Amino acid sequence: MANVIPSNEANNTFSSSESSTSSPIASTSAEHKPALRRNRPGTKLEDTYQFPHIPLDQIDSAFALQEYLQSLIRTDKENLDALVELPPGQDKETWQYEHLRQLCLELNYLVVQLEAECTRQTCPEMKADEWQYLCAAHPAPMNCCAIDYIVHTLDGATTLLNSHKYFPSRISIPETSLKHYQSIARRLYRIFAHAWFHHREIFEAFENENMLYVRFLKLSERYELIAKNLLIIPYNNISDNENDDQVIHNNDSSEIFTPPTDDSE
Amino acid sequence: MAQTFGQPQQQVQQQSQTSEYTLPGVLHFLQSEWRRYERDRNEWEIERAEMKARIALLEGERRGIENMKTDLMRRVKMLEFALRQERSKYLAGVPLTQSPISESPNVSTPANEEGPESSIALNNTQSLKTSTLSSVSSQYKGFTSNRDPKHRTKSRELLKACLQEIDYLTNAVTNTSSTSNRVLNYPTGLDGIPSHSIPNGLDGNNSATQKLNNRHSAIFVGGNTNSYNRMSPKKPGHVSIRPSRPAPTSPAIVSPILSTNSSSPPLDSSMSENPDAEREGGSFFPHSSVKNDGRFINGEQSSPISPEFEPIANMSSDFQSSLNNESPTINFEKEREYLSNNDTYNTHIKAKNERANQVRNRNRMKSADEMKEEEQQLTKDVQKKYGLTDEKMSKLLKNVNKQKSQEILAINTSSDPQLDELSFNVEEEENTQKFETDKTQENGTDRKMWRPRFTLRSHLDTVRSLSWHRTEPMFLSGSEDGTIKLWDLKGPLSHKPTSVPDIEPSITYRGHTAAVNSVVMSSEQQRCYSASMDATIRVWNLPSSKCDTYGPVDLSLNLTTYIGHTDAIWDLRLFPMRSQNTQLLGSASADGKVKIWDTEAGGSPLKCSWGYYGINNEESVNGEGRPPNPTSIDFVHSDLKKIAVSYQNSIIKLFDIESGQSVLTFKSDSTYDNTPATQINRIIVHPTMSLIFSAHEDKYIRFFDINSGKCTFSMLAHLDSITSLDIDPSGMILLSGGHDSSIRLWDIVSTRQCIQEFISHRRKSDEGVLSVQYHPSLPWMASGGADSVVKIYC
Ligand SMILES: [Zn+2]
Ligand SMILES: [Zn+2]
Repeated sequence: MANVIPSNEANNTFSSSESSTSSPIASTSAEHKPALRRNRPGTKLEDTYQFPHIPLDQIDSAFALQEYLQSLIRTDKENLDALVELPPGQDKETWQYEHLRQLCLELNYLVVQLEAECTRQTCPEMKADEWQYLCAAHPAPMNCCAIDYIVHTLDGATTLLNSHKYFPSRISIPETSLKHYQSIARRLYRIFAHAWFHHREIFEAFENENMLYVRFLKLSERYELIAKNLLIIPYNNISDNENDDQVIHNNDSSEIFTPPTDDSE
Repeated sequence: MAQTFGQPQQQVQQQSQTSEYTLPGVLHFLQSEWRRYERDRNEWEIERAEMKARIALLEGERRGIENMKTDLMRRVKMLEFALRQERSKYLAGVPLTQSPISESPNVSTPANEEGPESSIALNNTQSLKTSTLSSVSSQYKGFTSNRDPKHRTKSRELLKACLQEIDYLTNAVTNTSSTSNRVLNYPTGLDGIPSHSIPNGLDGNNSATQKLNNRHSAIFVGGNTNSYNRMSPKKPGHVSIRPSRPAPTSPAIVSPILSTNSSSPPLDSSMSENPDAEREGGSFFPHSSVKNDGRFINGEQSSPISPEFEPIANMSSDFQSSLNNESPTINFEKEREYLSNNDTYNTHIKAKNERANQVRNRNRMKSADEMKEEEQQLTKDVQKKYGLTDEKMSKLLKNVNKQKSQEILAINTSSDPQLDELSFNVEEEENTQKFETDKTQENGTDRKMWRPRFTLRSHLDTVRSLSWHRTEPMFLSGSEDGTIKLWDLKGPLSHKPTSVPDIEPSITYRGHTAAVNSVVMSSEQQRCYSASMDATIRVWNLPSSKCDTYGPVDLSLNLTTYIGHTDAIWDLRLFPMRSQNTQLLGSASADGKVKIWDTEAGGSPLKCSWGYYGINNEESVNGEGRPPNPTSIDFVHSDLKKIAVSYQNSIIKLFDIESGQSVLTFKSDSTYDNTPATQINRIIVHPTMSLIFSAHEDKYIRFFDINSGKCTFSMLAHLDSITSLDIDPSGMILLSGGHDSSIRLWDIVSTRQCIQEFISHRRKSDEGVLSVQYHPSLPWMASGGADSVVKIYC
């Protein structure tokens, strides 16, 4: 019945900074006081993520920025300025990176909703307003149907953001990888655009719940991720759905293909 | 060496004494120096060739061992499956209409149609296995048609034989792994040469060794028979035999064939009836290089070697004499001669080395087919050597086999008549004990150390659950980002470890509207299941063929959704056995309920659902607040009608799957303090022993006896909460992962100590490792963590 603690339970186990809070000494005193930031099996949905929001500099983790952002979103997703504002002492590249990851994460849930309605039959091409897009997830751009485009784009963006080659660290982003922010943002924007133009109800239901689009818009404005002329969703019609029609862009050409060069990485 | 070196040095000294450097003197000196140098160089080259041969040998051995391990694992699984079938048979008490063997996709050996007796009389290990299985199945038929006690007894005996077989096979696995180390232990450079062809070589000479050797030779003959009878070389029995044979003595193994005939105890007796000998045999491996009492060479063992191996033997003696620098007898003339013949000598040596290499390589690195061929060759050689006719030979082999099968029968008949009364648990305990003794011997010697191989990045948040395919290098990961990803490692495996590009999942399943907490893959059904905080279970098809990551979206993969739970689902387990029209799935949810689903049912999949107090006593029993939620579930392998459920209050309960009634409550809450900080996070039931393991939030791992519900062992296992558990396919190692970011391996059968420990994932929030999983049949392991990463180890 002896308590067996492995002999090789070396101190180096906890020499890494991120786990110092739970070193044997600290754990006895600290563990029971601040509620641990974890969801234990058996927890009811309403009790999950019930962590108090704590300032960024008190988060002791390799993923502090991600935790901080997620905590902000859970706390008040309507306060767009606070969500997008660069936390003091952080560099904006890593902050954008975490935002883009979070965007991909939450877009998964929009795709789930879209899949119910957007099929190869209903939307054989990836269109938004008068624009048509080619899918850049392939060796050569392809004319994927809308749902394929959406899934491929989201998968591609996720892969790129997780790429060890382009983003080896979440602490510092290589200069050369920054250019990917714009292309990722521009493409993910089209998912919103397609949803807005072709699956408005889904878009609005999702937006009411998550406020993902407005956050994304704010982010892209703040960090100039997407050129203004590519923002084809009417600007003021997100929160108050009044008359959409008058604001639609005056694109004369019926179809504008994005040039392949635009999509090649 | 020193003495030969001394020669020129003396000359130098003499010269310096006369303090004159005459031209002939200097020339002579230079000449002798040059000779010495040449000689040394020769030695080095010889040594180098030796080392090269040795490297090749070890590599070949390693590969062979790995193959064999995989194969053995598969066989163990097969036997376990048969065992489980049999068990469920007893427990269900409902006769199946069909033999379970034919249902099993794993058991591909042709079922023997003859009765148990006649099939037992078949003549190799493989057929022993087939016979065990087939007789189990025929017993089965007997059982279904006729429930009389005689059949039961028989059936139990067979089962016992089956268990022993499992036991033996697992031992063989562990023994196998020691082979490479053993080779390294040999002190001479002349490895690969039969130990008794080296004078004063290693010997490890006691009766145990001999028994062991005999045993091996007996086994080897079995292998011969195999090829002799022109049976398929792919038979697992054939391969599994190999590892237990001490590798360096392989050529010698041919010789005791005759002795086997008369005196050697065949494999099963030495294993089951002579545990002492076995134990000694086990300890033989690590100490072989130390023991030295010279009794090894006795009549039978040193009988002639087959012609094929003579070159090695010749070479060794040749080699030794020519290399014998320690002897001072090399005089100047001889040396000169030696030098003048230098070139020829070199080529001679080279040729010999090459030849030896060839023989060795053939010997060690052979594929199964080659092995078979060689065995045939060996059989022929032996025949030639002893002038045996074909008829005689086959008679001889038959004799051996007859003896063996007699032994097998002896096991069956000599087994305790009271066996009837023994419960399976007793048998299991026996097994456990045996495991323990075996384990203690080779404890800490030859254990596989896991090393990270791949890091898979694609999830965007904590990876909470993993599940391997039963046979393929393929697995599923479920994450807090709401997605499930299917990974196929076949591609990445073909790359060199250094040049693996970013690995992408082959498919991303989207459908849940909240974090995914648990995933399971059902290889037989070609499906997978996922449970989420959104209170649903989703059923997915595995993609039919090789699917393109960026192929068209296939919504047909999204099979169906089980709706019934009303809160986050935290655990999902597949019933360990799929019978014809049912595949049960259990789920545990924060709505307080455990539900059983029949995934093959036509109508409503929900079969059963119950809360903390069982099916009919909802909330009625409790006076204070809402009952605790289940945190984890697992089906009880030894009693398939039962499921174990752990709760937030640190209690484990056993429920009857069909009635939903609580059967047993475990005393598992010894450290519970009324907060979730002491809850049980995960439980796992041992696949063969009647043990259940619990992982606690307060850093404990506890072992419980499933029958009594008593805690048999408790240990503070991690530096922070433990989140995940798994048991390795052999059933001997428990794997645990915790929020301290570490993964630990525990010997569960003997020492109960940590075998290996490593830090694997980085913490996010206060979470670290959330999932650990062994591959059921391949030497792989996976872990998922809060850092959104999946790691693969091998
Ligand atoms: Zn659409
Ligand atoms: Zn595409």
